[in-house]
Amino acid sequence: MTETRVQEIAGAARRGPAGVNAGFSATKSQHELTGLWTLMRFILRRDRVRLAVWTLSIIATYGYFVTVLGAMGQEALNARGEIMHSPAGIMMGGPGFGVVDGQDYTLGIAMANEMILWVVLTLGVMAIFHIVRHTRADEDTSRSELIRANVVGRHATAVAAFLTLVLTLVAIAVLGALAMHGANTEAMPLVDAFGMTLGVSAAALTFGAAATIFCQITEHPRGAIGMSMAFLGLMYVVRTAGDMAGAVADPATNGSLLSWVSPIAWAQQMRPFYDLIWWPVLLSLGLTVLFLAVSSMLATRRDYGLGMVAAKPGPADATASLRSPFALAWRQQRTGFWIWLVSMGVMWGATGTMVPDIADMGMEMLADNEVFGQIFDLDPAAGMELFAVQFMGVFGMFIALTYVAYAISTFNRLRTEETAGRLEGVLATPVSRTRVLLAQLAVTAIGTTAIMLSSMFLMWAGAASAGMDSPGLGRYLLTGVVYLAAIAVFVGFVVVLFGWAPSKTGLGWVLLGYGLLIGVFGNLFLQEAPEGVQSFFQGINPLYHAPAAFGGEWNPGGFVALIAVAAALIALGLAGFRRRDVNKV
Amino acid sequence: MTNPIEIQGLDKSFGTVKALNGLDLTVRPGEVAGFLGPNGAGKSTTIRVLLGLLKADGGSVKLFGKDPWHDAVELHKRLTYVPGDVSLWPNLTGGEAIDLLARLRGGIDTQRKADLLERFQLDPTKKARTYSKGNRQKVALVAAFASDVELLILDEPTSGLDPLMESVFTDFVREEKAKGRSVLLSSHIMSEVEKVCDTVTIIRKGTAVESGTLADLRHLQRSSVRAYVGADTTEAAVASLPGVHDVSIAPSGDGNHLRFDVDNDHISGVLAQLGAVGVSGVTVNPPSLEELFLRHYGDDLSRPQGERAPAGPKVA
Repeated sequence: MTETRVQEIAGAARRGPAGVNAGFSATKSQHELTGLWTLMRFILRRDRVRLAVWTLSIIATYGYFVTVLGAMGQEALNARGEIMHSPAGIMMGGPGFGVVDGQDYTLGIAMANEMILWVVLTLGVMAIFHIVRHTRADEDTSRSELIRANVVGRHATAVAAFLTLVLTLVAIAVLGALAMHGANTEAMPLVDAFGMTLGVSAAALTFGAAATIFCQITEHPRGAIGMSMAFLGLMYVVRTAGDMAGAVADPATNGSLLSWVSPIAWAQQMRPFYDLIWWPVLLSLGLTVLFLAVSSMLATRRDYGLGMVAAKPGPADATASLRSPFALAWRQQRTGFWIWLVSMGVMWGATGTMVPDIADMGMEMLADNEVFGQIFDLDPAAGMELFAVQFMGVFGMFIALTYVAYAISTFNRLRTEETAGRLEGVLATPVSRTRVLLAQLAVTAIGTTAIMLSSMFLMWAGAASAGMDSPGLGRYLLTGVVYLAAIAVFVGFVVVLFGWAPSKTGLGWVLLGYGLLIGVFGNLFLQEAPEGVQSFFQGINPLYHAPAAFGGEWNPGGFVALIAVAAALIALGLAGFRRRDVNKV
Repeated sequence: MTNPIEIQGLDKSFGTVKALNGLDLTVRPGEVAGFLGPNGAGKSTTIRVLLGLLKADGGSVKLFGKDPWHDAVELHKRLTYVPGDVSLWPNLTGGEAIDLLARLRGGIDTQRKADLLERFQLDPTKKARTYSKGNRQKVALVAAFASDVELLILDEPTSGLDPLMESVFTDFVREEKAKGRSVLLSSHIMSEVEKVCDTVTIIRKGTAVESGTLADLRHLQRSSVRAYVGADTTEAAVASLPGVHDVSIAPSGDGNHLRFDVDNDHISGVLAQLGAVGVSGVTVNPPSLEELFLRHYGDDLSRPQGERAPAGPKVA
């Protein structure tokens, strides 16, 4: 620091007044970024498999969907277009540029309308993990202390992490556009394809940039990931609410002012394959620059290894209740639990108030359009209630998947305790492995149940306050309980991994990703497949077995079956944990 | 009375790496047993088998006459454990972590805790994430010494402690011994073991290579002497003295650097002789464990690094 000052002053003196600024920035930025090139190569080397898998799978997804949707034929595509008009279509797709009654729902429009959201969300997650992994996580484990003590500038690690992210996203945009164009040169003009992939990559980049800020605020990688994911989720909700509001106000509009708050909308509003405009990408890039400026400002103000908020002294003695593995597990989880409880409650409560409006809109469509009714297997005469039920089933799936994520991360905390060496300390006391595992499981179960049922209650309260009192509260809570049984199977799977393949506990997330993929795109993937194949691939997803949610027959047999499977998996995992070595690898 | 620790022919492998190979180790009631070995020798692996965290592949392991794998919970009521690399819950304060660990073991004497905090000069109100390595170590030590148990298993417990705190630690180990408790103290520092231990087991490559009381291992207790002397004839004069080993001399400036090892029994005679021939500087150091190993097992240790210590999972 002093040395830099001296050089600045010396430089300024040599160059005279005109050279002051130039000398300042040159000297300073050189120092701050020393070692950048080496660090970038290091990141690319360390993550060569990870980044290659992300890149190739996204490119493959782009190409695959062009092929699959293209193979459907225009008539079937038009039927899809009708669905994309519906609230569920808007929620799971986009604002619907080019989705107009009486016009062909072309392949390009379908890709833009249905894919952009999901690829932005996926790449957003990738961006967040990449940034946190190479900045806060390394700092937290003191790995980067070795690097920072070397001849490396203060910002070099963060900038290297960000630039490698930019490289990856650019590669995905260019290759993804080529893949789409290559899969169907006629329907997918290269310029529009690139417009779509560029918008997607730029929007994902904003979430990586946001993660750099959260990495400055919190000391823990877990916290940084949680905050970044919450931001991503919020932006999804804003986009959805904005597009919904636009559609409710006037079915012919595509999005509303509220949509434009979200970077996800910026990618969608570029309107590729319909009426491509480029300037929204500047919004993404501008926000990225702004976020980076903020995080850079925060970074220079804080000490290495610490967050923005200094740790305060705490109690010298533990409260009387902190005396069991359960109390310890709860203590570790409680902050996260309250955050989830409140934020999910607010989100689903607000969603509940929108249900009647959205259902009205759907009813109008149902009245005009027979195809829509056929696809959802709805009889217009069945009326509003049934439609709302159907629509809420889509919501229910999202709620369930969200809480699967909560349950998995809560239980996997036990594996973190193990690799960090803390589990060893607990097991060296007179506490059995069974007790430790069951304590973690109990905290997971209680937390997930509380969040699920409170969300269901608030969603019901929201809907009721907006004048929709059917289905009743009992049905909402029953739906919550049914989903909890399916979530228990996910947890059971993670417990088995913990017991028998502890280094593979991340596979729980793969099952969740599969559940999301098959839940959203399963019918599209599998529509040509024979019945047996369909039910096989659908059946891997535990949520598929959840008996009919908001509507339909209550099926106690299915519920009991889910619980039995979950219990068997947990017992199996427990048996594995009881016989394996406790270790850090 | 059964021995607190009785290990015979213990084997443990991690994949293809053999971490323990027919290890024997005994700790008798009321005994402070040193467990010495270089990094990667298998000390921590042995201890983790004793705690029932790892399952033995072969041999017999008895804690108070019982199987540490099957009877872990019951046995853990009678022992306490301090790891060499303490990791704590980042969002708990040191005081909370101490209370938690002690309560899981059955309760804590608050007066004893206050006393220990005072002696170890540990601030219990800090969040664990802000503690240095030495302070994290103190948290584990306070939690261990605050418990009323029969056996203390200490795995390199002083790593990261400053010399003042090391001596506080030594005092507490002596106190525990006076109360009739048994201690297994793993270390790679000979001097630490010398201070408090009744017996020593030396482990290398997963096998106990030396075992006995400190007096039995007298032959391992030598000092390294370096002296700056005028005449190079001193070499011959020193080499002929009893208890002197490995003499070497190298010219330097106007005089010569003389280096040799001497059995501690004979050190006063050697120093007198050095004084007689004229010496302008002298340092006497206890040999490090590494030097002891070099001396006793130099043939094996001169092999390439990779063959010396089992790699792979943490076995230190």
